Amino acid sequence: MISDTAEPESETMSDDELDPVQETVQETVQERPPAAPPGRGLFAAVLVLALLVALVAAGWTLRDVRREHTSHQRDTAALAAAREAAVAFTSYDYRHIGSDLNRVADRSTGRFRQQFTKALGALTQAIKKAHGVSHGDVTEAGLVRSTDTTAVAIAAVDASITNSSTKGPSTRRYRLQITLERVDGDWLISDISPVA
Amino acid sequence: MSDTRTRLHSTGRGRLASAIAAILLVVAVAVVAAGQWWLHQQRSHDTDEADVRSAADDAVTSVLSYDYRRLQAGMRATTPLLTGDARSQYLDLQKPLLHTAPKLQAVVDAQVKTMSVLDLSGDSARVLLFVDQTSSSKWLSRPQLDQSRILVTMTRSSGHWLVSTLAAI
Repeated sequence: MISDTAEPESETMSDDELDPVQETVQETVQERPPAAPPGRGLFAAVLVLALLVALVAAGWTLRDVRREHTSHQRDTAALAAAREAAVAFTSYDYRHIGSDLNRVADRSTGRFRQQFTKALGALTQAIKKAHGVSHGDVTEAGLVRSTDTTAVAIAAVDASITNSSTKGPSTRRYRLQITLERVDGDWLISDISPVA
Repeated sequence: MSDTRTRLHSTGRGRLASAIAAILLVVAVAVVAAGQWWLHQQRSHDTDEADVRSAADDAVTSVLSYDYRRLQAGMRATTPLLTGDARSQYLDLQKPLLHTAPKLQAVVDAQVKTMSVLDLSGDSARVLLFVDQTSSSKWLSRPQLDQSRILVTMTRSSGHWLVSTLAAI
């Protein structure tokens, strides 16, 4: 397309190169111009139109690319939050149980936050009494689905648990489902439960 | 003469403007081409992920289920969904099963509760599945439930996603 419309332009260019001669044959120059502008004008119009179309298309494309990129980043952040939540939920030590459980409460939202906060007292007592220590490790985790505002992840977590009633550490294999909600750009736990 | 100079001048400006416009056009077209190519990759990645999910669901359900009354049929349906290690592993397990399952009147029913595609690139993928297996047999007074975490790797072979390794984690 560009090369087609460029041809009339090159004609006018060769006119210009002949300038010293043209000064003496002004007649010719004055006769020629009416022929040149239509070609140049058409070329310019086509170029401008093509440029406009291309710019609009580029704008759309960049908008889509940005959206896609943002959703990738969002998913990455959601999965990281889910992994942290899974570890926080399965890791505690009776010697600093308060701060351990608060780590979960601080990262949660909505009804889950209320329920968890409510159960905090009883949970703290039970773990302290049993001298419970649990260390959770995410074996594998991934997103099940996600949108702008909610995400569901699953995590296979192995927790090594010791308490006063058992001799050595025992391993508990969790199948956790973590539901997250995005609040002010942060992914917070809106549910975390074993997949039964 | 001044007329010619003006014309000369305007032609020079016109040529510069045209050149800039042409460069912008090329850049814009390049942006569209590269962007659309990338978006196409992303979309085909999404399609692949949906295919992987359904193939993993079918294959894992099939591999982890059996019925002593339909062992051969189960084997015929399951084998094509597997390849490599997963296939040989499965076939190795079928030999003893053909003897013991009918004696025990064993029926195992597997159900994928949820799953996630962990990685997916090109023709290979890793999938995590939480599976419930309900077993019943002559020796069990009531069905027994086993909950497992299964990690599979999938390989695309002539357009079909097949399970190439399967392990409980």
